[in-house]
Amino acid sequence: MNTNESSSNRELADLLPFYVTGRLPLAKMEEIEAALATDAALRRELTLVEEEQAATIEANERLGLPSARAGERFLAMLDAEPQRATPRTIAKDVFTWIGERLQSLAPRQMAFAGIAAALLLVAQAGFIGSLLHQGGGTSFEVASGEHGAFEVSFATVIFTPDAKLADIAKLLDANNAVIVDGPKGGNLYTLRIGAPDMSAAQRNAVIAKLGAEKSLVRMASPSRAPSQ
Amino acid sequence: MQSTTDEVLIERIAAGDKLAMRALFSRHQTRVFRFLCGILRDQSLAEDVVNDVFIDIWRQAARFEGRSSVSTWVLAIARFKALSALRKPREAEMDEEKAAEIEDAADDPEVTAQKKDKGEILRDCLSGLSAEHREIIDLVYYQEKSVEECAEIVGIPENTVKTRLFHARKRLAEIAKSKGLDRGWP
Repeated sequence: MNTNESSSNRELADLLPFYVTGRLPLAKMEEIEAALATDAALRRELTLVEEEQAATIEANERLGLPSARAGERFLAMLDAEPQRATPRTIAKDVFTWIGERLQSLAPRQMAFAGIAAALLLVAQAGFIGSLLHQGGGTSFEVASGEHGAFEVSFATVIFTPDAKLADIAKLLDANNAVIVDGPKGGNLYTLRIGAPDMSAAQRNAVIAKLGAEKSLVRMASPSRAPSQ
Repeated sequence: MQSTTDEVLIERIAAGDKLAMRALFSRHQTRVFRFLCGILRDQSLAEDVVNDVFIDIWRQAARFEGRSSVSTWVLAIARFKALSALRKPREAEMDEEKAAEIEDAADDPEVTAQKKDKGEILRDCLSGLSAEHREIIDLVYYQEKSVEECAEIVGIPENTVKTRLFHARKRLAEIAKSKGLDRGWP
């Protein structure tokens, strides 16, 4: 074994495979460079490592590519995956949106915008609270009630940041929907939609209709009954 | 024009962007496929596992913490999936000795050496390595992973990466010698 020849540099020799791929810290690369200049055994081993590297790359290249059919199967699997929008991201989007607009305001405008935003928040909380109250809060069946939780249709929605309250109210009226819970993390509201005996297809149609109102609704998806 | 980084793609995937998922898949599919072929030694099964890996990435993208590169994370998932797939049917596993014996029976070493060039012999020898040895060779030479990244993907200490690689290279040289190619090392 040539290790006798290069034993003083065995530690460096073991790093040669990482040296040829450039995956060592710079200081170690330089140390190996310097050792190679004076150590013939290390240079010979470097040649072997390069041969191994070439053979490994060639062996992998010869495996060819995965079939187009496999790629198509993956895309079909991906399409079948439920569409999702994480609350964290939506919340981030909303804050980004607000941040971008705030940055463009002069200090005086900013102060005014702050007061306006505070008033709007109070008004929106009151308005949505009234919608919640109007919905009755108890007008839906809970899991322990006569109807199971899944017999009443609920949806989770996130309204767009610039949705006007009057437009939200109109949208809810038009779809026979009431807010029964929220807002929760990520500005999520739970709606009760339609009649308790509506079919899943009808429920999905209403949710799709809500979701199609892009100017008002950022996300709409089926939901369980809110926990009491 | 600079392409979107893997990290940005993962962030978009976590937010539910299927287009970003397609981009990540196109970017890494072949490397992951070849890595899995090395472990599974079955191209059809490797294709199936590749798809499972990327569906998992779609579902778990939010869990990516950025402590390692995306490609290292992907290979670690791929390895885990491959080992799970291997545990399922448990087909007769060909160990390195058996593989070497089959090759030896087919050709006299000297004839083999005369017929093939050095690179070709070495490529044949790679297929005679154990899955463990082939894996570390592939990770270092083909996937171009560092000691730390290999350790993370395989789940072994960094020193073990180095010793395993040394033994894999040593074994490769032994198989080559048995085929008539004396590399003068070890």
